[in-house]
Amino acid sequence: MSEPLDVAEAPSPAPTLLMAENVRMSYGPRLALRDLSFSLQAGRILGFLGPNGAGKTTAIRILTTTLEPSSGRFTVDGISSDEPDRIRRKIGVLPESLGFPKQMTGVEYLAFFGQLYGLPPKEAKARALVLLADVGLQQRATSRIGTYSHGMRQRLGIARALVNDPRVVFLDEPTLGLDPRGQQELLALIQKIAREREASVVLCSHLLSEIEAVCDDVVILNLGQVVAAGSVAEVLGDAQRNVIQVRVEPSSVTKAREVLEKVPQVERVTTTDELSGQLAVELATSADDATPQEPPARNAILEALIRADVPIVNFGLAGNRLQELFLQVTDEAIS
Amino acid sequence: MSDVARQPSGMPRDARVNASAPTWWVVFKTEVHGLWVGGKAPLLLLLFSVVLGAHAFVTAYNVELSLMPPKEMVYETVKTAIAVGVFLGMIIGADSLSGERERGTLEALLLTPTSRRQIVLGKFLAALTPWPAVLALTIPYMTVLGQGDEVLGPALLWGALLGTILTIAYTGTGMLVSFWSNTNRTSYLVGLGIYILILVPAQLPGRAQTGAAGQFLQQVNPLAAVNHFLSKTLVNNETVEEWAGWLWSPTIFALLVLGLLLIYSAPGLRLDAGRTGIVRQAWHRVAARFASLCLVLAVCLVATTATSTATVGRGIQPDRSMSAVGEVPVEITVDLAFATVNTGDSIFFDTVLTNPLGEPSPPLIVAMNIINLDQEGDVVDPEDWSPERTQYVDQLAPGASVTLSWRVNAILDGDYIVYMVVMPEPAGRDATSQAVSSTGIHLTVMPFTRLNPRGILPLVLGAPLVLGVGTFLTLRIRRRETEDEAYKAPFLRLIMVASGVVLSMGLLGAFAIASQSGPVADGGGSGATGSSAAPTESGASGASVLLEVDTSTEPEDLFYVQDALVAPAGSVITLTFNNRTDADDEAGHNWVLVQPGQEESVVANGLAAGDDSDWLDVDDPGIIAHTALIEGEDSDSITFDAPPPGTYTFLCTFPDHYAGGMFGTLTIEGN
Repeated sequence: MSEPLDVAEAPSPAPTLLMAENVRMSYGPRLALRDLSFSLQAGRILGFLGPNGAGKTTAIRILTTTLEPSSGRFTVDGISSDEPDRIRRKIGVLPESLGFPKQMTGVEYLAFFGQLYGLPPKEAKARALVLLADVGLQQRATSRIGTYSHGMRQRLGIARALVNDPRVVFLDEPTLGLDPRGQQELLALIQKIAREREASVVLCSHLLSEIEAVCDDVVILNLGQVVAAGSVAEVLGDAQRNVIQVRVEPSSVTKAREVLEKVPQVERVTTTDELSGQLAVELATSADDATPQEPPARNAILEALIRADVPIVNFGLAGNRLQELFLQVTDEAIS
Repeated sequence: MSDVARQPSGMPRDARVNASAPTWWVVFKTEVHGLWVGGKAPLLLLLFSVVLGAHAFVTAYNVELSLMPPKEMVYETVKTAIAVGVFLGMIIGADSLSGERERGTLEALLLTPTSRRQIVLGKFLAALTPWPAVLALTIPYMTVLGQGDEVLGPALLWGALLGTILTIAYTGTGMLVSFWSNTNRTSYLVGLGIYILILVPAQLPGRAQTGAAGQFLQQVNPLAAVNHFLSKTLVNNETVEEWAGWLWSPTIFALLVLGLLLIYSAPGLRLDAGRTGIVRQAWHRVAARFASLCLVLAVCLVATTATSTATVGRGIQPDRSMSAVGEVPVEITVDLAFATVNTGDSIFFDTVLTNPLGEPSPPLIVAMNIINLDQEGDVVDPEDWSPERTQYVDQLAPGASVTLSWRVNAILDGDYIVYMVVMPEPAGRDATSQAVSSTGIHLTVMPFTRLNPRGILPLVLGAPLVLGVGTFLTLRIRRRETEDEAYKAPFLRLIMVASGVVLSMGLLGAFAIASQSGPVADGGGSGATGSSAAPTESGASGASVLLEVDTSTEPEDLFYVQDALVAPAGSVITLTFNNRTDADDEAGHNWVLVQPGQEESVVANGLAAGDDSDWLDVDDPGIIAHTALIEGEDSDSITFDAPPPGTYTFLCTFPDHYAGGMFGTLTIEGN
């Protein structure tokens, strides 16, 4: 986590590669995306978050020029959305649930796209082999895609997105359906793309742990609306710092609540999961002096629980912090 | 997974553009590779060869169907090829965009900075590639079924040209459908609906096709228009100029579709077929309903035309209120008295209508009729025998005459009279008129030399086999290529497989044609054995004439059943002589044509030559032509040039037979 933050705070600001201004999309009366605005600098990874149907894929399709927005504009590497053909030269995309021609081999597939980007046949093939090696598919370069595993296809899809050496790479759910190891490898690959190619990456996902692990910036969408945007540190700084996660035996949830509500520093107690005995304890802290006050408050809570003989299973600061934030902001938007 | 970022620098774009292939070519190459090496096109072709083989075999094997003239078989095969070519183009076209949408491969294509028009063009051209193969596949079948008929060349030429136009039109239609649908299911349904809607009018019953509306419908419908054009020019020997007007609709259709596809639609190719959610949903509903509507419409169309045909049949009522019949206002003559032809051949003749009266005639209707002289034979339906059975003539001025041309296709073997009836148009509802009949044309139709189904069998079975092996090898080469990195030059191997398939098909076709070269004569009761059965056309100078002479079945009867033969001057006469007596009777007969006045000397010289020479001195200059001396139940055929015009005697030189009355005459008619 520390590395991306360093980049963010680097003295010479990297150029802005992607900027969206009030991008709006409506299907008839239904508003799929309202006023999407954000910017992304070179070398940074942006996490695009949101529950199903929040407008993520619509947003990606607009930014990748396969859909025309109803209104608003965006620029990619300084090129306006009025010139989709020029934008297409600058971007690489792994679309959601991308299909592959099963009869083609990996090399043929990448060489085909290389040629569509204007490479001569021989050069396209050479580039295809390099890219396949980059994503670890050199062993299966001449196998038909039909024989590839799901993870291999995702990696091939990423290789395809890199064929034109893009400035901005869009990855829509790249780790969907991958096992944990495949997921790890893919995330490492994505980080490498951003770092070594000086390219920006837009990573669309609903796996919050994944976003938190690799992203520098985050945009959270809900019902077509941006509910949170900024660097991960900024977004998390807005809330969540003063929440403590407590898990007790499910049978003593009520008792634990009673005890916790009596602790003076506690502002509010919510039962996040009744069945597993999960509680969220919000501390009564003002934003200014939050940090110095934290340790005693935590101790006080723990002490109160121990005194009341509540069987504690787990105790700690909000673990999946982004998840908490996500649930909170999307919940707020619904209500 | 390393070195992802080794090429941070963009490639010099200008240099790339110069060296790279145009997008449509890249897309075309990839699509063709997928279509052919991927196995889809070879499999479709294989299926087509099975259908075509079955069609050819049934045509050759089935007695009724084999009575079709070769021209018509060739036409039917071209028609089938076009129908299948159009269908394949439509299916592949319909799959091209909606299939990519469905498989999720279109988005990647649209993400590239390439021209949409070029993507569509590449796919379109690739979808056209099965058509030449379909046409090429029909060549051996057409050659075999055509039996050397000169129609083969024009059939291939026009089939290739019109088939290409239609394939372009329908492949484009399929792609347009595909353009606006998200799933293949919708594309196929709508495509199939259009295909059936277009196919149906061509299958309407005859009467519905000839009405004014039917004609118009046919002319507007591209497929029907092409079929009509082909049938008129290939089967009915009519000129291209006469029917060129029917080529407008397929041409305009093709241009329209091309324009719509490449100029209007292609630049707007998008990931999602529908513009908005509402429109898309409506489209899905409409598409499904449109397809079922097409089917219902097609059924209704057939039903209504069938009933309307029935009504027309019932509508004819005899007119009881006859008025007086006036003077006969017309005379009719025919320029042909008789003809002997093979089944499947045609005769052409002219009739001259003259008005002998001093006043203009009413408008005239001339109808052809054909009667089977054999009481047991089938009743002739003149509609089957003639492309144009009735002709209409405006009123004739006093003394004026008009010439009408006719054509009769000899459909079945037998003995027929063809005659014309002229009917002056009645003056009104309560008037009638007197018919005038021409003299008859005595038409003798020789049995058809049937195709040898066994000769076709190697082609019928071999073609799918060859294509199957070709497909298998193609897929195997592809598999080896994608599984074994050391596997070299797969392209060369594919070329070899393709040439092997072409070569084998050629050999199969040649073999099938070779086995047809001695066609088996139909032994339909005449007992004639196949000799050099030259094609026969009567009337024309230098044409062949078939004559047949039988003896009586009783050994003591000394006469020829046919004792007055006629043939035109300059013709080549093939005479078949049948000794109809029982083989046990040991009654030998021959048929000897002699110079006028040489009858007695030929008989005398024959007697002198003796039994060892079969009672004939073959060196006798008085002999023009002769058969062998044959026993009962035997036949002999000879071919000779007709002598100069005049009347010649033919006779039997067996002792005492000429004296007993066994002779007849052959009259050679001058021009």
